[in-house]
Amino acid sequence: MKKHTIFSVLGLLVSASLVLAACATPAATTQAPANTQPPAPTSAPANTPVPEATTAPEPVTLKIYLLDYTPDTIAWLKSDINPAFEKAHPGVTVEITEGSWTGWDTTFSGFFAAGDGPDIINLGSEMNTLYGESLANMDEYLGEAAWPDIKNFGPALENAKYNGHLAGLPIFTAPRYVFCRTDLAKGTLPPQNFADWITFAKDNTVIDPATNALTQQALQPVDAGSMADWQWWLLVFYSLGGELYKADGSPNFDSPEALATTQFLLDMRQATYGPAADAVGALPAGQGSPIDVNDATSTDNGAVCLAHSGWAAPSFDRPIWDKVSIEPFYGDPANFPNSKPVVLAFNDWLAVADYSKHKDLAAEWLKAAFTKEANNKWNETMGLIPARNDSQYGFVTEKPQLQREAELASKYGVGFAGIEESAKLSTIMQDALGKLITEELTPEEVVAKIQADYTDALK
Amino acid sequence: MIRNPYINVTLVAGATVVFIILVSFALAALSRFIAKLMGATRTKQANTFAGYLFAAPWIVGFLIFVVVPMAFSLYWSFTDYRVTANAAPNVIGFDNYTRLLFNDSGFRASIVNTLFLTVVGLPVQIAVALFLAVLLNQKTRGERIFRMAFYLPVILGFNTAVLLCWRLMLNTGTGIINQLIRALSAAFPPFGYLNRAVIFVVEIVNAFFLGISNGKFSLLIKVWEAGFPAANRVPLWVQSPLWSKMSVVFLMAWGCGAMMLIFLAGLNNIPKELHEAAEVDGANGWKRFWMVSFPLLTPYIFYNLVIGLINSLQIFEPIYVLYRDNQPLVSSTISMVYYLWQASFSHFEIGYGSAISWLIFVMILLVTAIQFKMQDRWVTYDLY
Amino acid sequence: MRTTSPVIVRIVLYAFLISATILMSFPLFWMISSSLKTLEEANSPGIVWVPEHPTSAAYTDILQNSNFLRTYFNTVFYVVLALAGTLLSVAAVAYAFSRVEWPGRNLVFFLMLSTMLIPAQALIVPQYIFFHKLGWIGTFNPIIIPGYFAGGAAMVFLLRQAMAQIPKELDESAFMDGANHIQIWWNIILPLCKAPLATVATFLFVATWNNLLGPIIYLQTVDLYTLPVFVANLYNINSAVQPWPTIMTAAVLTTVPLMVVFFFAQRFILESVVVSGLKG
Repeated sequence: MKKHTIFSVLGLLVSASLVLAACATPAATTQAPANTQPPAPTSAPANTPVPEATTAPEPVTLKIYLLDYTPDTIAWLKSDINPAFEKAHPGVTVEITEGSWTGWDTTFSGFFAAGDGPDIINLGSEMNTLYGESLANMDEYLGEAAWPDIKNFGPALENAKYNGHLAGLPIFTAPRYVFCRTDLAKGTLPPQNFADWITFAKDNTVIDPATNALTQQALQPVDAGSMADWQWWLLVFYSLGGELYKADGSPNFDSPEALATTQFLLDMRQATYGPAADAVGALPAGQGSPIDVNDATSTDNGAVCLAHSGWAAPSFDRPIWDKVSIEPFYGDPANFPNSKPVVLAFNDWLAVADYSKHKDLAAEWLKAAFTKEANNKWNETMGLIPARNDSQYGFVTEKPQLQREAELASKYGVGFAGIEESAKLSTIMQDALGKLITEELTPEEVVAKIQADYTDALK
Repeated sequence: MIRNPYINVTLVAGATVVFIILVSFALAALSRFIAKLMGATRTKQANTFAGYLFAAPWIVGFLIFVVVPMAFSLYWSFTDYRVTANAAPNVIGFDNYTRLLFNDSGFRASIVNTLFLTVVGLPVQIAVALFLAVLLNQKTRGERIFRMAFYLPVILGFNTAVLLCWRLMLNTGTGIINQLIRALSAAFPPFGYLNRAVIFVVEIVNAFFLGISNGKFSLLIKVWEAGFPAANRVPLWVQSPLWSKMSVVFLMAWGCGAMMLIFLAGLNNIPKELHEAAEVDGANGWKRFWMVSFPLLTPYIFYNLVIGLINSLQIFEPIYVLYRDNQPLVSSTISMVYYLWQASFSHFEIGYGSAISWLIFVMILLVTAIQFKMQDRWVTYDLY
Repeated sequence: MRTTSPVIVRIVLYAFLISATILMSFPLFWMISSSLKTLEEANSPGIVWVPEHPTSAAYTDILQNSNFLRTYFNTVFYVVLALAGTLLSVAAVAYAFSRVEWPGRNLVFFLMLSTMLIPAQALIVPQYIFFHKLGWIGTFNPIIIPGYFAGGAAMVFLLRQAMAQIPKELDESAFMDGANHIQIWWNIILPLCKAPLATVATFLFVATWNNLLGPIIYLQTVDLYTLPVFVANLYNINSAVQPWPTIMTAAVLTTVPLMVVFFFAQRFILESVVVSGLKG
């Protein structure tokens, strides 16, 4: 009996010390070219606080988390940008983590909950308000006084600001255009107001009675089946000259523009699919672009017009581009004099987290990766339009489609930014718009519901 | 200071094993000590020691990985913790809970949806599993392959590839499922009528449930007024809120492989003599199933029911995978756990999300407790 | 069962079996078919059921991709390590609940079952913070070590049911020979539980191999990634042209070990699952 008790007590002591020893090991680093960890401000009780800067500069790792990349982008960063940066800043190692859009929000919440993580994070357009409070104010590093180059960034820069302060830099601008098949479209292209769009929809949509499904869809917006995605709604709303917020900051969903937008969405849907009770099936979700042609069968993929960003359009070397026009969305000047053509621009960007201990270094890296040439090269690897106006040369002008897109973007681009509680608004709008197209709610009820719910959410 | 992640984790694993063993002995000794104080016999002390020794790994893990996080979660549920707000959580009392229970139509909708999936989806899943198990229990050639095919959905899980495949299969116009339905309706007119009748019933029921969750029955009225569906109608699967839940039910039935295995094992465990005796008494296959197999399967049905209920009340992945980029349909299928995920990781309101998770936990607890109480009424063990 | 059923019944039986098989395995068929297509074929508008000229280019490419190979190794490594520890601890805990009478047993058993009622999503944030404090973010530790504490109540439950079936007389005679519980567990009970242990191992293997959420959150660098994360990352929403053949190839290669393991373990699973005596 006694032996057991002693054994147990000893056991507790040994295990406690083992655990502490294991805890005190800083997080294991990668197998790749040796990366050092900063003396951990994290980790367990047994650590003594690190003494302040001693003699030589302490090794520092700058951590960057990227979601938008192609293998070419990473290769270029690792071969060109990072080595030059590390040479210019001895003792600093740059570590790039390649994440994916799957589970990004769970991963990010971990960073912010733990108050530690990558210094630079790749965010999407509307996330400046979502994460705004946790992002650093980079004005002193990237503002005009510190970095005159910042003037060269186009409207995409708005996406990288929170409360008027810069939190990072935008990489590219990916606007949403209206791509139309000039050979398939009946009627004049592009439709210039809402009434024309409705007629266009009726004339260019074909339903197969045998399958009670669409075989041709006049306009395929972001969500082809419902035609009621909130981003599509915002595009139309902005084209009417609508403002999301009133002067006092309260939501503006009780405006005539909001009602007209909602009515338009319903009309388009019914012009395409008929009344909800008809239960017409959608186009098949193929694996290529909806406005392209199937080489094997020489049949069209079904969409006459596509209101989406470049990703959904065919790749630029396809022959079909001869027959595709690229236009903005023209709004409804007939009824709303403030209408203007818009392309809704999504600008993914790199933000600096507030918990970062190396904001100055992060700023330096950003400056290095966002020079005129670098921004051009970055986007070349991805086939997108650079956020910097002066970077829109080379591959941008070589491809006629990109050049046209860049022109339209700089003339008519409207950012997808500055939306308060964007995640909640998305949920509220999707919920209400879903009920619009099933005719559960009328357009008046829909905007009233959104207005009420959103006002609530902003409290 | 270990650089190599493989060696690192192996060492940590080894350290963990040592840790567990030592803590287990410590816990066991402690418990035996307490037993001794309470005047237990020697055998009882030895048993106490052994029991806690072997159960300690789980107990310790439970404390570290469940109790402590749950405690945090409970604390946060009384706060307004916005994880991206760069501010500490501030206590707001029961606000989250009152809002959830009385003011949140979204949460109520998620409860209704989850109940639908449970009340409709679970019986379907169990029935399909039982049906497949009975099929497999017959002597057939290549039964191993069939068995594997039926378990395949569980093995595949819900990855990108499977998701795309389901989108293709469930497409209203050209998806293979609807094409099959059309082909069968064309070949056998009675099947066509059955199809339309089923569509009508499904849409009415779904519209009814949507009405409950939204508080307005305008959709139900519309569906009723539209009357009996036309001849060329097929299910709308992932296109309409009236069918979005049925697609999830379809996926649940598709993934019933684990339940099927349980049933198969149960069928295998029925002694042949019972079947032979029943046959001698003149019972045919159908009667044999209901009189002999079914009663002896009740423990397995119960097991599948309990586990299935727990799983369906927590259903998340099929919905997330089918509808995460089809936002307008989400509100018609959002389950309780999806609602929790949305609050925590989409809106980043960890406090609210924590309150939701505690409510879900309590609900499932109640339901399971009721199930166990009721098992005496209908579950037969050891009939022979 | 009988083999003398009439022909028509056999035909109907096979018809059902085959159509069910088609439905169940269609996604796998689609994955394999897509993986054998060329990039243009896979991305062509419209649906191509079977590739015209099947090509194994995607397979040769991916098998030469060092990232993929390392990811494969990572997955095998992590699953083996996790499985070994989890299996042992599950076997130990199941023993406690089935073959030893100890005060508080029922309460602890009930507690264990109730952990199945907690949605995993609820525990993510606190656990992340905990692992962060240990410095385990960016390592394999958070996805392996928790299993060592007999994570997975359903598996303990399953094994416990199986162990409960073994006659108590074996224990008693061993006690009389002077053995203690540890020896009984190791030398008598475990060898008798080969089939249930194989079952639990198979289920754990499938679940661990396919686990996506844990690895995505905790393994933060490419060289640690496991297969599910790798496949998820191949799908880049910014690309107009998705590399479907590559994605599908990776998915197929991910699934192959699972199918092999399950194919051989089927018989054990059926022999071992006995769930009578559920009064817990």
